[in-house]
Amino acid sequence: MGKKDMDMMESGARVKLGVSDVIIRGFGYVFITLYAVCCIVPFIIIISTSFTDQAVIRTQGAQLIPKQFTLQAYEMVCGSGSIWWSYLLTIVLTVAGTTLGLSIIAMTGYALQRRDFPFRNAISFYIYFTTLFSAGLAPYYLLMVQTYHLKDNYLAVLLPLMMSSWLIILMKNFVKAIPHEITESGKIDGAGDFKIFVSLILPMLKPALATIGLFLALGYWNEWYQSSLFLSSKVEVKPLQYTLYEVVNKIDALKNSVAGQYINLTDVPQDSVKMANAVLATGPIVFLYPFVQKYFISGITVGAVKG
Amino acid sequence: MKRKSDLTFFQKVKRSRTLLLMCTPAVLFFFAFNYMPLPGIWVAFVKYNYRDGIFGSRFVGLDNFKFLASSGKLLSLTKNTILYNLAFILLGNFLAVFVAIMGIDGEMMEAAKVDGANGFQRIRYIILPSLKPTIVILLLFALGGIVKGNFGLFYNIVGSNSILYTTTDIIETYVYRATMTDFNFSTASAVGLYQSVIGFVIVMVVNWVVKRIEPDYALF
Repeated sequence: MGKKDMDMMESGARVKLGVSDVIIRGFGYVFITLYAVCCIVPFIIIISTSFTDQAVIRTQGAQLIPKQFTLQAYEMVCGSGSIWWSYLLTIVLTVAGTTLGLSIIAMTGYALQRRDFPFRNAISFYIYFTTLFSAGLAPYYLLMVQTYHLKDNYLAVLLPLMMSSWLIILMKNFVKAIPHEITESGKIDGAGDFKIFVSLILPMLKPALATIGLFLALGYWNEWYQSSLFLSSKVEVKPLQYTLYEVVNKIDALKNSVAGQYINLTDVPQDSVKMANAVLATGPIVFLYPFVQKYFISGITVGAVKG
Repeated sequence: MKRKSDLTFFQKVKRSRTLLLMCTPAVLFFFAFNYMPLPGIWVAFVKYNYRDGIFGSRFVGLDNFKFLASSGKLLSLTKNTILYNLAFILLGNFLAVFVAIMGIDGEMMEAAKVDGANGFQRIRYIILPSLKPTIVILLLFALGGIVKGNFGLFYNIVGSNSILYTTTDIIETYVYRATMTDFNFSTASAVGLYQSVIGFVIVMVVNWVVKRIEPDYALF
């Protein structure tokens, strides 16, 4: 929020409020408070459950404050060691994919809004068309597995998430906000198109890079779909979220299996293990928000304009 | 210097070669992952088997679609997908509307306040009209995606609990199971193609209608 807005809000607060303002503000505060509570309570329950003893969960359900504090679930999850490899894999995928995707999206977005680029409309339509009509899952799966041979290959996770037509359109709208005269001035000084892009345009695109970079990074961090399609049990280390998904499934399967009836499963901290996994898998990406938040609101607004 | 329209195709390519090169990675990407699968749609019209592949398997015409339609599967999947989407449209667009309100010029609100408009009047005459384009475009997107379900939600919550399928199975989950569990690529592709075509037609029709009423709001 800019300083001007802050000043405006302060002066607005000092003005005597009319009846309608009081009603609207009252309604707003109540609504926003309820909404915030609805968003935050599940998080608290997840964190608290991950620290709670299984016996307490079984008899009294999930708690807002852990009744019997224990680190058992975290010991179980971290003890196996495999989660750290998943962490490493997800971090590598996120960094590599976001960097590559962001550079390609920025280049394409810039080229596609240059008015003197004759193939602008043709290529824009070529990219936009993919949102209108797609082949569907089965042909895509067959292509990836039989033609590209990407089964059990990390590239099957890295490549498809690198860009989307929506992100390119978003980037195009960001670049549009930069005056065309900047490109012109670069041309007059004798710079080539790529030089103009790197030295003049890219530094002005920071909000765009932050916004789209965050979308990409979140996409990679939360990835589980491509992994579930293409990474079979032959692959030992899988991306973080899919590892979490498998842990949850394994516990459920064990519970429902014949063996589950003979083993005393009450000793296995199943619920807290699930929640500990969720905490470990969500945790780090949350710290990315503060760094990009200042760019974020302006970023989404630009995306609201069609292009 | 010649006018742009007088240039031949080759000259255009030559003059804009840097910009073309900058677009090349993206063009290749969409070709590899979005256009290459298109010929594979053929699998919806054959009885697929591994040995013969997509184009060697026996051609059965519209049999895959007929089977899905006559068993009532197609109808129930479509119904579930659309009804759940309608329920989620309101929830999902909350953030976008919020951001659009943040973007409204504060000075306009100040001016209205100075002119003596009360809170409800400011909502009625400034906020709602300013939100109109955003809401129309969001609705257009939502309508365009009305047959595209939220796979992650339904797959992770319902899982493989087949008792619930009649009320919770959406197109995405059905296609996923048909592909990954049953390896029934022909049926999966038939449902997927049906979904793509319906989605495409809806977008086209809605866009055409919007264009006639308010050309500024049309998507293309």
